Amino acid sequence: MPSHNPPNPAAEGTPALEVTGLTRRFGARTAVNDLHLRVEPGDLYGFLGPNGAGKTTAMRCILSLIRRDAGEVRIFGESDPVRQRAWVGAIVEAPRFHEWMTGRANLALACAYAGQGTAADRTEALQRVGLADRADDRVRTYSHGMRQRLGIARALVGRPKLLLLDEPTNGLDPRGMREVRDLLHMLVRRDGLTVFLSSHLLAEIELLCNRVGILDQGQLSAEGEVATLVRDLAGDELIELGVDDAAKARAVLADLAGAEFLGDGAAGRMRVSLRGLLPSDLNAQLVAAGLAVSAIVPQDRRLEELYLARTQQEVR
Amino acid sequence: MFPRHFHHMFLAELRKTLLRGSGIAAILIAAAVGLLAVGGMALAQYLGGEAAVNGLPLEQILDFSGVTTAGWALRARNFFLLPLLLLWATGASFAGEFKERTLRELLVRPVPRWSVMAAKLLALTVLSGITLVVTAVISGGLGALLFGIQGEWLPLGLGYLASWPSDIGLLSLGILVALLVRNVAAVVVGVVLYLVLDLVVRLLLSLIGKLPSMELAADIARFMPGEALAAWEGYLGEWSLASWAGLAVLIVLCLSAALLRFMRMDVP
Repeated sequence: MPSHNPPNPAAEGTPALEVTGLTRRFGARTAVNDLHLRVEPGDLYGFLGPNGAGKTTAMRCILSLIRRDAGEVRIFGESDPVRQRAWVGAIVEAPRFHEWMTGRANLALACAYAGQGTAADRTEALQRVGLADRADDRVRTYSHGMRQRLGIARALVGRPKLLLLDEPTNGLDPRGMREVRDLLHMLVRRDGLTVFLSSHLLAEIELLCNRVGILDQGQLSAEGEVATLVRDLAGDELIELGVDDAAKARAVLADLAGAEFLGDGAAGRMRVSLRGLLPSDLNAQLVAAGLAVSAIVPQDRRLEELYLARTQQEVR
Repeated sequence: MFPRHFHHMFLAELRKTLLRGSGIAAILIAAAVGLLAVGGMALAQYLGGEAAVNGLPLEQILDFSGVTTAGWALRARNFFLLPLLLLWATGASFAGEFKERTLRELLVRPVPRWSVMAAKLLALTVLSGITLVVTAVISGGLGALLFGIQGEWLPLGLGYLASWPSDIGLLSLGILVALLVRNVAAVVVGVVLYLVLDLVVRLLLSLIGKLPSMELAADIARFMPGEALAAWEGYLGEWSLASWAGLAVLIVLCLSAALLRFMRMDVP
């Protein structure tokens, strides 16, 4: 099949993906509420949120699979959904295939609809995801992880500029997850792709993405560079505290202004947030209360902290 | 915007339609119908004067020829099983793919939705055409070989040709139902139930039409979908303009409604 390459994306400075005021209701429930997003070319953007936050609904709206009640989506400045999709490769939820067809035939079907991709392109895509030797087997014989990898290969066949991936490492073993991460890094760095990635795996997002958006109850509660967001959140200092009597220490912390018990940490320690209170002051207070302090260890702020702070559903 | 690569979409859909269980079954049954018609005629000829229907020897009732064989095959093909298989194929192509969410994977490609529907409809139309050709070639070819080529082939050819738009009418109805029920079995059952209801209504209208000053009811019955889908039967006697008009209206209405639905529906 001859390749009909889409025209090059718009001029520099145009965002790869720009979502403004996106709203979708299902009856009385608002799944996505006035969502605004901006993904720059070359970004590896993590789209986070608890179950039911509206991530998949937002992705379906972006791909025009479902109608929008309000809002606009522009991909490389283009607002026409058909033209937009010439630049997009996507996995929405678990990728689905015709089970009775081979992996290669499923890719050929996708290529036929994309109007792009030669047999050599398909073979290359299959090699990239490590499925070349199983390409001529029927998909019904594939494991979950193989289907996921075939989904990634299918998302790549149209030589997209923007990848929209919903939980792309779902069902993969640690090696497979690592391979997908490496592949995405390569696609961004070597091929200049932009990746919009939805995932529940916070550590994965932290490893992969330079920017994140956190969706909660259909609205974006935080957006920006991972490092900046985490730093902004940290108006306090996080420590791990080791004492001989945890229950007594928690009682002391409860009465102490500027200290907050967050939860249990590693090795029997407790995680404590300090706001306006120095670790040395905390140590003095604990010793004065008759406690033996074995450790006060400063901790790095993680994306998980930000996620939990900015989402409500999972902590209610 | 018409996709420049529409022919690739169509060919991919055709391959999928022909290789799917319903497609293979439709072609095999079409072949079986042709073979059964030939076998039945051969048996009737073998029994010869010994067999009789209503006291008349078979030889006096049946004209043993390729034309007659292919004619019986056409009637058998259009009677029940092939229409059901075509509905099954239609259901699999729309409702089945919606349910399995493989339809979504097509709609994320840079093509307008109408073109996806058009590619699927064209593929199903070709499947119907292939089943007609298979039945015609096997029954007509073998029939001519065994019983001779005498007889009028042109009306029979028109009968086969006319069965194609009749099939398209059925496919159009099937697509509309498939976009409403989203389940393959429900598509087949839904269309069959509708056609049974249509038959009952037509019978009632025909009866009412026999009453004084109620002729209009009988005229309405002749335009109804069930009658329209039997437009091909004109080759047996007289072509009915009402049936063909009804078929055209049926196709246009069903495809228009299906297209409106397809363009607006949420595909999860």
